[in-house]
Amino acid sequence: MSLSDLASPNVVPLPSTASASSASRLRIPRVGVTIAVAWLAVLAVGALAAAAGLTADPLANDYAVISQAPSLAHPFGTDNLGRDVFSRSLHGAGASAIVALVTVTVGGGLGILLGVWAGLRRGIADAITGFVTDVTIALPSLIIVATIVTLAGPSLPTIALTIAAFAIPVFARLGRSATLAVATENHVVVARTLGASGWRILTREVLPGVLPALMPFVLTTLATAIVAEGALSFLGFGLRPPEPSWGGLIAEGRTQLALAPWVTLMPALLLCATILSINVLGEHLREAKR
Amino acid sequence: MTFAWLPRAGRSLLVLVVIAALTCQLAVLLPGDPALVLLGQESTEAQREALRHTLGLDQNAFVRFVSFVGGVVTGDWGTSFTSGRPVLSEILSRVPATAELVILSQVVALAISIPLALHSARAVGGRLDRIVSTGTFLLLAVPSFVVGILMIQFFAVQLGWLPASGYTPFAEDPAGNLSRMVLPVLTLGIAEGAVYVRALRGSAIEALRAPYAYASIVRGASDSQLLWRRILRPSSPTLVALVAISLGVSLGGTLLVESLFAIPGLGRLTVSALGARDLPVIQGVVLFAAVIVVVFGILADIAVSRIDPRSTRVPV
Amino acid sequence: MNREAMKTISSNDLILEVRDLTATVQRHGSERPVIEGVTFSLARGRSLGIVGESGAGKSMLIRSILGVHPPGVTMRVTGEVRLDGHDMLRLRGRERRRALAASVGMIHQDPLRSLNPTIRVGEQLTETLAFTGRSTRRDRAARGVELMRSVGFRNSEDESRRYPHQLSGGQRQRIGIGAAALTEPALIIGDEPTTALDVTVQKRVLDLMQETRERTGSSMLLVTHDLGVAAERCDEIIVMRAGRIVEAGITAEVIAAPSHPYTRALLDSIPRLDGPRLRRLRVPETGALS
Repeated sequence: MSLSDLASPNVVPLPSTASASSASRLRIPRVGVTIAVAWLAVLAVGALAAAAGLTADPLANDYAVISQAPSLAHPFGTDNLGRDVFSRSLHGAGASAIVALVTVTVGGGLGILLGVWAGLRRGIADAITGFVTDVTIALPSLIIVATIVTLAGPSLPTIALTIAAFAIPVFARLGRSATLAVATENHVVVARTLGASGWRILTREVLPGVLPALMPFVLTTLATAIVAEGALSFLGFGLRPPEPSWGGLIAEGRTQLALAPWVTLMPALLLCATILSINVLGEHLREAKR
Repeated sequence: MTFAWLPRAGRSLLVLVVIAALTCQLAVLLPGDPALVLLGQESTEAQREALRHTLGLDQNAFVRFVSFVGGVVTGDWGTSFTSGRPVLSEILSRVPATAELVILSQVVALAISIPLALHSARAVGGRLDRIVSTGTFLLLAVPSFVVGILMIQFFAVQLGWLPASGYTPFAEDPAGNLSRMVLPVLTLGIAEGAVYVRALRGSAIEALRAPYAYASIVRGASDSQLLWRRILRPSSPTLVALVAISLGVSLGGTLLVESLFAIPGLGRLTVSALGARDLPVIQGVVLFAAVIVVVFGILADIAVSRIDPRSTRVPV
Repeated sequence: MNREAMKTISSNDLILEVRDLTATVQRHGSERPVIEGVTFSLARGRSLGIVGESGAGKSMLIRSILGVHPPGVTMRVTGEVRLDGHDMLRLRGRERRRALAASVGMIHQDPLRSLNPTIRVGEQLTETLAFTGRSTRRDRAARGVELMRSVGFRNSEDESRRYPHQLSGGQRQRIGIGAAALTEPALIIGDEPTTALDVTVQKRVLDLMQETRERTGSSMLLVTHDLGVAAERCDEIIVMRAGRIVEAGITAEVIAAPSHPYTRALLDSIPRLDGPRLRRLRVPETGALS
């Protein structure tokens, strides 16, 4: 939950109601899942193409085409400095993707390790993880992240790693409970009785059970991290202004809403569509798990 | 039983101490010489020396921590670099606007979400339920700052129904205060309401599956009697915990909404302090927020133990 | 509608008349029958045992009679149910709720889970009055104390202010019996009332049900998987299997000369001191097992 206020209240990860049966879940139609995957794939290709320099220069001002509505030359229109919103949005997608992936791999990875450790060792390990979780929950994470990024200098690695740090305790807690559930399953107990080594139990018996259990939450975290980065740059504490990021683009466009609404609306649309797609996949995974 | 939450309070105190310890080390994060970074190249060595002294950077970390905590406890939270006013009074002067925003948005969120959640749980899979589930699912994909922008664009700019931003204290101009609060409150309230609906709906569905719901129906309960008098209470612990969390972390949420709607609350104070690298104010806000989170956490535990008599023992 | 008039129209002394009752559950577009063509009746003051293994449709039969469907399940019920003069399948809304509250008292299977954990037992015991009539809180409290005393709580003044988790299993079921007797209903339904209880408590609970029934003059429908219990406590027995009645009759006759092989198998499964040990329930396949 510590990551949640980062992302404003609307991405509070719901307490997992494990017993809520399939009837209570939103049934995602197959076509929705296909669209979500397709959207994320298209976006990834677009972001890669933009990073490779295949789209217009996101920083180039062209005073001949100031605040133009979407057209063939500029699919998302141009802003008040004549910059191509399409290209800027795709570059922003790249920044969001990096933050999201770092959060999941670094934050998620460390968190899961911590959680598995606590779940298998219990005792003191449990106490430490629990206390770290308590502390991070009490920290106003958006403020902390903004502070650290501001003080240490806003760069993509700093932003990504700071956001990732707040994902650690959540993953630790979930990893711990998943481990506790797995550790009592027969095959683990049997492996233990047979005298398998701790490492073997961890890699062969526990992780294969824990990781799939956490997959839906991995997706939730991707979404949360993207919104967090958006919020951060929306407030002006993310990547420095000319560098494009979704939150920054949306914030910049606010002053031009009346004249050139696309400057705000197009990146906002990309942001929402991406979050929605990730949520759809997460919901689909939860559904598939029962 | 009444004091069952005491060990929990001790633990919370420890959490606060750790956070205070982390907070007062924030300056160390600055690359290079913090004084140089904060004051800029044009500052004189004497100015920088004075700043290092105020921040306690000339002392070791432990001494700095002790004097920081000492100050916090005695009400001396430091002095703002930018305004020159004491940090604590700076913070307290911003509380009313934020509190109004947060409380109103919680009221809106709960007023919308409780009936929707209960009634869609009662007819799970029905039309209302499908609309509510799909609607909240879509809403969850829209970050609050996007909701806020759309609100401003639609209701303030295009329709011109409501002012887009600003704040007047309620005591001065009640109508003006409320009309300016509508959009920010809705922005926060809708986002939170969507989360609440999903949480409460889930636990209400479970409660409705329990045999006691069957028993009450056979004893003649109407839908509304069943939902409001027999289902709401056992399904609300999760909701209460969520409300406490979002009250606690309200600062994070209000940061965005307050800057979007220019409301002079804690969020705006934080944003401007961050912009000006006003370290004492930032530290103060962090600590204040942590205290709020911890206090609401304890309150939530107490509330849950009142709601569900089985949990007389608060989990420590 | 005039209740007295209705009663004279309906066959003189029958409390419950079920004719050709069929219930289908609709799920994922397909319909699955759970009750098929069930017909039986119960005379005033008599008791009827409904016996069958779990999944035989006993609980569904009760739900269909009462018209209380499991949440999230769409059920279609056809046939005719006449309960204490009420045409249950056609009554709607407030009238149906009134009919239920006045004519039916029900004792549920799981005494803990059938009590609301957040409501004091005294209040739950009398909730029918709160739901359907005009009564003051004070009247209900007094009634609850009195009723609890009648089901054997010695210190009912205090005990009525307890929460369900503070009572023992037997005490909880006595609360259930008290609640069922509240309106002195024409019909008391016990849905596996002793299954979740210790063997030592079972007899006392059944005795108390009998006592209560005699006091209120109610008929009884006792659902159980235990043919022995039904044989001991009921005037008549019907045996259900896969949603159908396979055997019906006066208890003594059914026990003495079971006509259906399934009943014989059930009879054989009752453990006896003189019988062979460790015999499994052996049933000739009849096909339509759900």
